[in-house]
Amino acid sequence: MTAHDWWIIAPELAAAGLAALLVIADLALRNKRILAELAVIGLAAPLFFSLNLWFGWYGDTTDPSALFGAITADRFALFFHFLLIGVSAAVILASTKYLERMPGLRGEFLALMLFSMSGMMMLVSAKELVAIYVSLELTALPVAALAAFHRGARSVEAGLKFLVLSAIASALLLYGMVYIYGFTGSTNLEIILQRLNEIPSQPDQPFGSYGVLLGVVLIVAGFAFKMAVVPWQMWVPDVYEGSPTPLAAFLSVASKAAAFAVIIRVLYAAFGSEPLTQDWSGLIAALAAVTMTVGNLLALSQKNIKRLLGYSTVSQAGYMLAGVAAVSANSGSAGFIAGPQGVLYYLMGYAFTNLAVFLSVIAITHRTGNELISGLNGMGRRSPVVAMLLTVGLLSLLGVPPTVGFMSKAFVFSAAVNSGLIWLAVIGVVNTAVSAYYYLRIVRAMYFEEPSSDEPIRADLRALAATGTAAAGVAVFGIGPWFLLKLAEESLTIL
Amino acid sequence: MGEPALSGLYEVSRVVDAAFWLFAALAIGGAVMVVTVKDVFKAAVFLAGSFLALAAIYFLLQAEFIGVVQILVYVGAVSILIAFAVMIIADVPGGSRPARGRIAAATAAALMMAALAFTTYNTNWTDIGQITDEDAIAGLVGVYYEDTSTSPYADAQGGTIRAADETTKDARSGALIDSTGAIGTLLIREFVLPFEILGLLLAAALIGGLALMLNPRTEDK
Repeated sequence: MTAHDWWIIAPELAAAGLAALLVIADLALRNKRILAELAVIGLAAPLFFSLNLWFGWYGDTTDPSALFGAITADRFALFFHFLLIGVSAAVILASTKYLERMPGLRGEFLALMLFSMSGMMMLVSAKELVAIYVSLELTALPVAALAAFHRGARSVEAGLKFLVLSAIASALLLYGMVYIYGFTGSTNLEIILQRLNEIPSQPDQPFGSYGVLLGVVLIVAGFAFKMAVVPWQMWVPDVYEGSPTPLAAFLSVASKAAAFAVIIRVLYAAFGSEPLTQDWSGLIAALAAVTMTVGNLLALSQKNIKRLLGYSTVSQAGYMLAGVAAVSANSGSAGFIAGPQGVLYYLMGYAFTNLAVFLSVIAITHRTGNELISGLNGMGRRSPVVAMLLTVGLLSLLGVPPTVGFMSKAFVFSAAVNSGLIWLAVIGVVNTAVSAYYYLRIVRAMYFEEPSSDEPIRADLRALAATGTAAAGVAVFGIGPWFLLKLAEESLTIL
Repeated sequence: MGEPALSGLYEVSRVVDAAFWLFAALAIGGAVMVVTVKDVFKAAVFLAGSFLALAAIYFLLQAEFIGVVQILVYVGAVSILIAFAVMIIADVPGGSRPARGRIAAATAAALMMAALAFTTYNTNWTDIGQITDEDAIAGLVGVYYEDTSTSPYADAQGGTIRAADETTKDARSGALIDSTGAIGTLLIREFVLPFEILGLLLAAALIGGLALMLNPRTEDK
């Protein structure tokens, strides 16, 4: 390895090193309360190395690709590094109170979460199918352990369900990769693109060849598990309900962002040539339509807030997929990146939004111990600040202007219309209207229902800071989306 | 391909064909028994048999390293682990509970198999002879190849390990290729990153497993 290689993989190494350090610190330190703070401060190291790669302060960072093209630190990867680090920091900060109440093994809880995060960072940087698969396993395995962390019946069920389903998804993904490798003879995304252009395609077969068709379908199916896309949605509510709530927040934002990053990279970097894009665009569009509709319909009848949010993240994944599907026919034109740009903006906005929602829910349910929607009755009076932050988040999930959720939906749907997917945009808008029913039901419970007791609920200051930051992001980037849009555009120079 | 060098191998290839069909039948038959037999321990034994047949197929494909790993890891470790788990946990003579949704599962498996078989037969798997790009050939036959003129590691490593034209010739003549050596080289060069990530994965799995064992049981609220 050259010095250049070290600089490129420094963010991932720092994240994994921090995870290992926390296990040791848990052993060595007597005061275990500071572990969470230590983790948040430690996240500055991967953040610094990512910033360094973005701005090129130290080291030789002009060529983003390293280790024989297996990994890259291009802007696209760095964009997601920032998102993942930010989300992890917010989740850990907001769950310090939760962790303090935990009877044992806090260090391991944090370490496993950070191991998963380092896997996600590698996932968004990997440019080679084997590295992508192995990093995907690194993100999933710690999550399975975390889901079962409390060892209660529901918790174990959540962990087992996640483990088994993720193994099936991995098998599908590997099958797809094998077909692509067998057809092109390479696992490197760039070389695959080049070979697919060289190898003569069969005009009567979709994707130029049945082998590529099945390969792409299976790869998308494998990633769909992580994105929580129909038909892989069944693990989401059970795992969210059974696992520790901080983990649910982490999963719903970070895991989803990493999965979208890798699917955009694979589809554009390996299958981004002209006739192929139109083929997979149709596939993704169909998946998007089914996902948003099924997620919404299932969310309507939920009584448990964590299950409801689980189905809500499914339908949100559907809206984002609409942006992935929106690839315009003429590559190189200004509109070519409109779809992915919308998705990146959506993911950033969704991170703020969903964190605001989940962290508020943690703050409330942690005190009341009641996870039903009726448990939120009268929170507008009992905990006005948290209720307000939760309302901001819910309105953004619904897509009410001027929140970031509205702008993201506007960008994604307009990109879909511009690339000829008008029907998809119509389905999206109808679904948004349907989702108002269950999002506003929570708001109604908080402000118009009688509380079961008048005892006020005070939230932990650190949790309030994290939740408040997320909610502020929802408002700021909704009113002024330019910064995030510029960031997303710059990150997409690789396409 | 049709090169003269291949015609000499014709006699051998008929034996290889027969062996392939035999081991394929054993592998699939064993797998079918695993899901149909009632006794869990017998199922584990059939699973080991299926794994062994697969290992034989790997040997036929000249992937001797993968074949040995298959025997060591799957037959040696995984099957034994399953057998131990069965001994400790399950009520072996009573058999496993009848699985629900058998028909649905069988249908899904059949559909999957149909899709895979259809695709495999109808895909024009690119013939090595049709590709002129030497990188592509080296990639297709899985032999390590490096162009020193563009590699940043050329100075440190001091030249090519295998020249591209040599690789091409080997592949076209159907010569036996040292797959174990190739895997070793690939693991510390092109695939060094996945290899190292696996180390992290094992560490995380270890910590996760210990945490699940040692953590006090609580019902999450």
